[in-house]
Amino acid sequence: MIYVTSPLAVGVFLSFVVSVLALSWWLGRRATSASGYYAAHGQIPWFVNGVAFAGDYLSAASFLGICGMIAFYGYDGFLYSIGYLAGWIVALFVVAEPLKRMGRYTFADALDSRFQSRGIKLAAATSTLVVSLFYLIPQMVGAGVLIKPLLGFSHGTGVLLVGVVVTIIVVTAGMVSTTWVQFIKGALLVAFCLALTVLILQRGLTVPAHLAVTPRSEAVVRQQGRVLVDSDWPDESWLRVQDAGGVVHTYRRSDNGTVLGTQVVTTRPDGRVLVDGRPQGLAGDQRDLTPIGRVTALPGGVTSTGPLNPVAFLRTFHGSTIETWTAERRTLRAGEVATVYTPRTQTGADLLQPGASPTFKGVRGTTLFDKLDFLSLMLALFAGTASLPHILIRYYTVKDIAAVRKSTVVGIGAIGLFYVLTLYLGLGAMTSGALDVTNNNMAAPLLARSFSEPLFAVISAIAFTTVLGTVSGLILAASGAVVHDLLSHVFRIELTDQAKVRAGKWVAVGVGIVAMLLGLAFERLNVSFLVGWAFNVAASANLPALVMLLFWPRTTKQGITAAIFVGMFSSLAWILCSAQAFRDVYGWPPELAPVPFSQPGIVTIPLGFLVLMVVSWLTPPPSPVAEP
Amino acid sequence: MAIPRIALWLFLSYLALYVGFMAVSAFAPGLMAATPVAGLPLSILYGFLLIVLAFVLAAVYLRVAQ
Repeated sequence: MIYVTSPLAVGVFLSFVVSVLALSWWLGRRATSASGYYAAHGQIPWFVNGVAFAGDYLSAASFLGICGMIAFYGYDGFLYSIGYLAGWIVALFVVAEPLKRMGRYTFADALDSRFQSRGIKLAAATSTLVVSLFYLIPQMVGAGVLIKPLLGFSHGTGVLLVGVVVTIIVVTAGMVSTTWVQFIKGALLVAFCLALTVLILQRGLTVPAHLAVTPRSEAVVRQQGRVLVDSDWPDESWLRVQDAGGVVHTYRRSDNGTVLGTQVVTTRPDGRVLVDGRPQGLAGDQRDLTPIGRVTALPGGVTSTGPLNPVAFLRTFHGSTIETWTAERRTLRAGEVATVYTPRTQTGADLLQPGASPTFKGVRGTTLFDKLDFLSLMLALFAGTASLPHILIRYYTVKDIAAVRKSTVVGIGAIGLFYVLTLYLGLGAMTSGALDVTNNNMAAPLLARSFSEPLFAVISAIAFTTVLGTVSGLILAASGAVVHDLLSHVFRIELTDQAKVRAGKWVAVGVGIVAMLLGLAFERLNVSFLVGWAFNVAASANLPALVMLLFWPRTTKQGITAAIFVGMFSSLAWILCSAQAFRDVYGWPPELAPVPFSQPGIVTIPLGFLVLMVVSWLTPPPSPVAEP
Repeated sequence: MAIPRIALWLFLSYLALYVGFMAVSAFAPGLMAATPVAGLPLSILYGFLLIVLAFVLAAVYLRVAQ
């Protein structure tokens, strides 16, 4: 879809970004020591840190990805919400307190506090880097997604803009300003999502007066113009009619003799894009995609419900029928690639059950492998939160254990409220009539636009600061891992406090550049889906080491090192060999993928535990002196 | 180094509910479609329960651990 930018939106957006930068610079002036740069001197108030947890955690993926997935597939997006939140239980009850007691700046510190081993430092720092980079991909993709409709820039410009701004934030600032930016952003995000939900409930559900694309009779459709004959579009499934304006209407034949109007986007070998046979654009002889997403029937035959309460909204949705769209890619003879978007009517009841999306359709599958894919992702989400490096470093920004607990509870409250709201935002978007059929990551901003332009500007600006905040946290975590763990402890380079900060800033620039490149490469994937992969890697690499160190005295340093490396590489290798990577990343046929399902967690997390135990048994036990 | 016993119990009880959610979704989808309360399907109710319960357990823990 082509978006028209409004000066108001651009103004609101730019003032937002400028204030964040100014704030971050002002707060960061004081952070000159390593403990200030990486851990904010441990002096952040617990409530601020709690909301900052929400700011860190509610990334572009949570906001854009989950809303988009719910808007296109219903309940499946909500599965991410449930899993992401449940993970905090592991963080709070299992890893938070011991981690706070054992470490100073990084997760590697804590793991290594008993052993003083270079191997562990190397392994933990590597996994922090890998997980941070993996988690950075969806954030950068999300940035590109936001910039496109808002400022009219291309995806690439959006990615570069975020990369540059974030690198400036991290280099000029550090953990103090990152924390405050996250606090403001987390609070704004939850507040505006609440406001948006109130608007959705006020609007209620409505069946639009005219339905442009419904099953139609072939005879009527044929009168639109000239019927085209083309072996790329076999007659038994397709009917294509060109009208006087040159627009090619493509219909898909259904079983009962009617035809369904579709929207077709064709990409020529020279890169030109056609919509229904005309160049894409808004001028008179051009054509653009029609916005989608609407209710086709409400319970009781009414056409509009008026304001609804939160329970009645879900109950009414449950009894409605909704038009959703499926996409099919077809490669044509001339080297053109056509994507055909076809509407289909689904019941609300079906959309509120797991398994409607391609990612989770396995849960409705018949084979055990299909179901394992679903179970594996849910397990990775549960176990992954407590293993994410940019979340773990936030335990070092408050002063003591009590503050860790209190800020985690505040974080869970804010995040939990947000995730309840995602269901309303997603379903509200699904029925808003404003969605872009080609891009589900855009659902939340477009939903806001269906209410008003200023709201759209504010929501987009918040989402963009969301990206900025999360990316700066991740870059900081990666920089801490490289400087504090790798340079100081693995390579034993003596660095003064100031040199550590300076080195950290250089590393931040490097990580920022890598993040931009990755953001450009992965444009097409749903951001929530990418985050799911990051959780798999985080949980597989870090969780076995964390948990066993806490609960099993026989754990040795070799065991920990081996578990981190095996967990990390096995989950990475599995993902790179999965059907989803084959189809969406390399563009190869997914049937060729060597692994039976796409989400590795259910195999690689236990594998990490197993490796840790076996290696620990085979190596000499840690000396008893170490444990007082 | 060890974590408080109460934390472990709270964790295990939540884990049991979460595993229950995964199991019902994967192996008893018919149950998820049932509408036991207020005309809402179990999928929605169970999901909301897991979210709200996470906060409740965390708050309980905060109380007990003080």
